[in-house]
Amino acid sequence: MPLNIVVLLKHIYDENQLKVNQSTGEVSFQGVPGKLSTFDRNSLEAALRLKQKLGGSITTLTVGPQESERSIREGLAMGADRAILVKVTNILEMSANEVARIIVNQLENLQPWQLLIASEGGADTYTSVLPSIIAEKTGLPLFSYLKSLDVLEDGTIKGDRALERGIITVKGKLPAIVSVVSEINEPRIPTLLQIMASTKKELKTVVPEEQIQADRYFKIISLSGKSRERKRVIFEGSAQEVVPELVDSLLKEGALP
Amino acid sequence: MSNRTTLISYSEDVDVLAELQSIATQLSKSMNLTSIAVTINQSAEENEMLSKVVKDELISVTARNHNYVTPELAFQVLKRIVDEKKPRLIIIGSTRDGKEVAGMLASYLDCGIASDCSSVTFDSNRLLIQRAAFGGRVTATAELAGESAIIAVRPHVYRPPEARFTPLVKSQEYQDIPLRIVVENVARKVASATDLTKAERIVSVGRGLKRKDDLALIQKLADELSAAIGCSRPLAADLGWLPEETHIGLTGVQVKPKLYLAIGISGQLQHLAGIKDSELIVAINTDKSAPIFQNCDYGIIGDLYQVIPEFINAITQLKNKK
Repeated sequence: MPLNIVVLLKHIYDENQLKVNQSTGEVSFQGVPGKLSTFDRNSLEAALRLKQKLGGSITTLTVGPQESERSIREGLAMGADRAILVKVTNILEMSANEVARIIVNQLENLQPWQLLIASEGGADTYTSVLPSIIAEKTGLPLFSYLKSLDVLEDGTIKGDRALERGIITVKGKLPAIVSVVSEINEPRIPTLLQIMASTKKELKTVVPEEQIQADRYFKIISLSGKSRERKRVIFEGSAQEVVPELVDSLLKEGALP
Repeated sequence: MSNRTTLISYSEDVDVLAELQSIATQLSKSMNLTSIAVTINQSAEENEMLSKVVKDELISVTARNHNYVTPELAFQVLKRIVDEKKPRLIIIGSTRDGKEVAGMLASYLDCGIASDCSSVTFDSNRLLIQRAAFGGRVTATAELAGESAIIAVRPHVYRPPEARFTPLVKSQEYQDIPLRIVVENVARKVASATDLTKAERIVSVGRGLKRKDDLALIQKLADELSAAIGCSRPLAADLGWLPEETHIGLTGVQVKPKLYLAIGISGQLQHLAGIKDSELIVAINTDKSAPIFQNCDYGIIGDLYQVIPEFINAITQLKNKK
């Protein structure tokens, strides 16, 4: 049974390059480069492996600004067949409910598909609630936090959910929504040839069907990047030299038992 | 303004649900709401334990023919309770299952939702939350507006309330709620004796450790320091050398010990987010350019296999002197 899979990809600000004013805690996004949200590579890799096994096609779906194209091209280079970008400018101000509504609208247009794969969370906001909102709105079952995933010829879906309290093995039937954790696989790195070929693949940009309004229910009031100043006393040398120095410092700090 | 008068709290983990009662009690007072806690398929003992810390009402639900409570089942149950109680606020333990249930309820009620919250306050008629964003580099403060709202609160941020209550205890039973996700196997983790969130000293280890057997060395140091053992995500999640509940970081446990010793941990944002409230951070790493050295109080650039034995010796000698 060939599978039509939809994979959600998000283009985010690179959290490692965010600019934070250490004294005021002010956060600036100006000039901060974007990237494909880290865990989304795992979702796409999971889809690619299922396609390898069962055949079918992979469409990536992104809600975000025009700059998202860069991340979407990476997805196409990894092996997605085509991509859709729903262009919005204010994604950071949108709630999961609103993003989900846009996605569910697009999912209608993408019919028929059998599997939607999302990651455990965006590396920027890490709210982790989008898959469950999509599941509720589409009425489909959600197999969340999977660390392993398999789909059988007869449309059975199986996987291991990685939870705080243990590993739960679950089973059900397609169509379904899935979210995966980063341990599920090691995402492939596209070759130069694949990167070049990806520019020829279809990337469709659409505007949302509904008027997007700033969220009525969830308003960011402030962002603060303030963190505790650390002493940063670094010792370098042989273990015999540096360990006594460290022990001395820790004694002075009263940190040893 | 909302004319809804109840607050509902839920977690599939009774210990987390007990913790949530301190924030539920606080908010139910300041927002003038009736505080109702919901359990699903919990034992009589567990309900008894909870009934001491729930302020107004405990609804103990039995869902027949379901041994294991999945988020799908919890949502089906809570949907029915929410339909009846029309809550102003729903507070859920922000575990992986909890976030899933919270998301489904937020979609069902079309209301505001905030997950992984580290603080919730009600101030001048505004419901405010704080949560980490951007790999923990940023703390976001946000307002949840609207008739109702759902807040998923991080486990272990609050302690169960000291106060003792005598709530109304109600039992509800549901027969055969139809589910589409079948649970085939449950491999429960053995609960660890140490609670990292309360540890005074933590010895934490990362990818710098070459073999699982070398954990003995780390254990020895931890013993000498009377410290608990933690690790970075790869050691628990990818390699499985240590249990998942010892994984410290944004997606794991967040700790605040007096001394945090990071051994062979490079210090990715994800990990730093889990240790930022530590009083003192000490790093041992071979890589001079590892980000952990930008975020520590004391650091040793060196091989853990040489530094740790020396460190153990020094601590033992120190103890012998006393």
